[in-house]
Amino acid sequence: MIVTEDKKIKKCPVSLQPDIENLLQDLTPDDFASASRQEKDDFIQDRQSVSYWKDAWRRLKKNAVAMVALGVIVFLFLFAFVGPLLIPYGYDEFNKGAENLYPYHYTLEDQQRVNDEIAARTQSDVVDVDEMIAQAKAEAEKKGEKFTKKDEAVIRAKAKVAAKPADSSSEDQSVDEDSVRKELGIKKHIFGYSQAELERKANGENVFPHVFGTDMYGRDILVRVMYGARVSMSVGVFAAILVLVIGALYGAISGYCGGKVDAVMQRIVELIYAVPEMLVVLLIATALKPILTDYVNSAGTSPLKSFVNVLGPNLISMFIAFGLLYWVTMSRIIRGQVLQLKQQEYVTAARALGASGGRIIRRHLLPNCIGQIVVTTCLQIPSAIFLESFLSYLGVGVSAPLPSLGSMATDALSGMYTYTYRLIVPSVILSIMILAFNLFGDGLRDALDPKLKK
Amino acid sequence: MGKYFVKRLGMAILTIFLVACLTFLLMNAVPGSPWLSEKTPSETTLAALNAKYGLDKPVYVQLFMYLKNILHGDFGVSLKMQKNRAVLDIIVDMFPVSAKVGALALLWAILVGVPLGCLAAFKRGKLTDSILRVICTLGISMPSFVVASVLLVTLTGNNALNLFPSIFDPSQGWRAYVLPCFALGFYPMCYTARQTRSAMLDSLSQEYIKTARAKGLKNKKIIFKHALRNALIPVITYLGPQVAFTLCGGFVVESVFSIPGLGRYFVQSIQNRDYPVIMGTTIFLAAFIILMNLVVDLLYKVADPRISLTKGGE
Repeated sequence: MIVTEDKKIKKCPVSLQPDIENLLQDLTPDDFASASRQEKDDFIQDRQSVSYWKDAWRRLKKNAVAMVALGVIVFLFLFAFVGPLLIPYGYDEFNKGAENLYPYHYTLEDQQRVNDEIAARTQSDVVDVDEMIAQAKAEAEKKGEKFTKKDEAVIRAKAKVAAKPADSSSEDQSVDEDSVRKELGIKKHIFGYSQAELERKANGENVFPHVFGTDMYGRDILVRVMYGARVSMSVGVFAAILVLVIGALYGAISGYCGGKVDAVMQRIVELIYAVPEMLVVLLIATALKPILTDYVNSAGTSPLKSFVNVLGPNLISMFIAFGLLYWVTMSRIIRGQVLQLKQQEYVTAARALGASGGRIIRRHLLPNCIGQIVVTTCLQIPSAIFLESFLSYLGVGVSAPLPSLGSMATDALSGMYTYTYRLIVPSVILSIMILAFNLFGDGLRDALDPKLKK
Repeated sequence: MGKYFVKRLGMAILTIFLVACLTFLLMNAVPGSPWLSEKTPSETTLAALNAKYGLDKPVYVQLFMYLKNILHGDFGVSLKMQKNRAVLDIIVDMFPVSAKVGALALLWAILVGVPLGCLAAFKRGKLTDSILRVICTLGISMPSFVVASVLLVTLTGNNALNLFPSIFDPSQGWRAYVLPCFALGFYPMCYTARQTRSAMLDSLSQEYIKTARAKGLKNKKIIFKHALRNALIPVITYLGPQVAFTLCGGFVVESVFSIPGLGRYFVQSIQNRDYPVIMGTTIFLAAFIILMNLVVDLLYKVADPRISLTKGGE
């Protein structure tokens, strides 16, 4: 740096600016030698920067609601993906003798007490049919008449009629049992066990309880709920990723190219935006199910076919629906961001350096709207779960043996008053799952984009 | 305005056309023919049937035939559910029930949601706000069948408070409508409340509110005349999607409460694979939703003069 005499700048006497001329005189050529590696490392050590993600994480950690939601999500993930490994029942395993179990049980001793009590109260005044016949026979012989088979049948029929009210009162008996239990002060114990399982347990065997009871086929509800949660979460996450990829690419291209390309692409978006999604998703799910099933069952093998078979036709049709319809919101958001970002100097610089459009989008534009992308993706998950449960509830969701929270709720609707827990358990888990994702998404938005916070 | 209207209408019609095409093509691709039943007809009968209904022609010809028939109000006849009854006839018969339930649900959602949102905005950060936020977040996290199930378990049946019928029965008057409308409107209510709250907060921080305060207007006047009016505009925008959501949520709620509406019928037709009914209902409902969106959009432009009409969209 050479300062010529004639360009000497007059300095204000109160200026705090260092006198550069004196400084230059103090410098020796050594000062201009390149820094050693050690010095460089020291420099980096000194100014450890707070990265975007660290900053966001710091903000997120302060948000108690979001952190609780994150905890719930982690728990649900473990519940859905690790849980089934710990439980010895299968989701489509019919546990014989364990049908229609409530999520509670009475101990064997208590049951015995109740039975004894009931037996004591209803001392049998039922007359044995054979005894009656024998009596009638004796009577008939006394009178010197012939006891015919017809008479015997009449007596038997009469006895049957007499016994009938006793049979039908067995329903009352269960009410009776309840009141007896109440009088004896017998308490319910959590978790459901079948009679056989209780006996095995009494013999010292280790029996895993049916925590949420079982359904009408004896399938363990806990395991089914776990698998249902797994289905819901997988659908949510994969659908969100699908939406992310399509939406981000489409939006970025549309925003970056601008002009006629943008106009045409935006017309398409408007068109899809106007389509009532749920209706069309329902339609696609309905139509694709038989089409894909037909495809899977057709002759020959191919990698695509086995892929379809593994995922199941319903999940695929759901993903297709998402890929077709749900990316528009994402693409609109990304486009808006890109429109702003592409005016920035670093984009101009990259272009001046000869970077291609694709590179600019990949390396400069998309990383700079990562906050928006993450938030929108995260908020897409609950809406996908919502949709999956909706479709499953209507019976066009996940295929039959595999449970889904929505289809479990439908199945439970018929026995709603007697087996309320069957309806409540999947509904509550579904609601908690969606709630947690919603709250976490909100927290993430606040953390990643503090300007948006209201 | 006129030009904009024509453009939007054209777009709406194009969308309806596309949905109709998609519906037809999807349903056409479904394997199996409508004549498949226990008794397989003979070859000649099949050929005659196909010829009679035009099923022997190429797909695009069938598509145009179908679209032409729709324009003439002919959606075909039901094949399974109500054999040989015209689909249009069924729609005309059942849509009013759905529309009534849906409209009532939406009405209560807005009438309750907007004031709740305002309340939350005024009491920002206080207990009221927190409680309302919890309720509303919960509300948008519960699918309508969950809400309906909870209502059914707690408020109907013989073991609980038996206040309302669990099965829709129009002879019970207003009591029949309470539960379905509540279940259907809960999500839109919570959504509206959230929207109103954030719009209201946005609106309250604007300069014109400061001006109004500075010139000494009463709080009531500021809120209702200045803040709320502007806050309602974004709420109106979401009305269109809400109509769609309420109609689709109706599928579930109508099934749960056995309401003899179009939604339940649609679901039944899907379960029974009665394709003409599925197609007709889809196209009808899609057209209805798209037109409602159009109306809401136009209303929105009228309500907010700041929005330029020549440049569509934000």
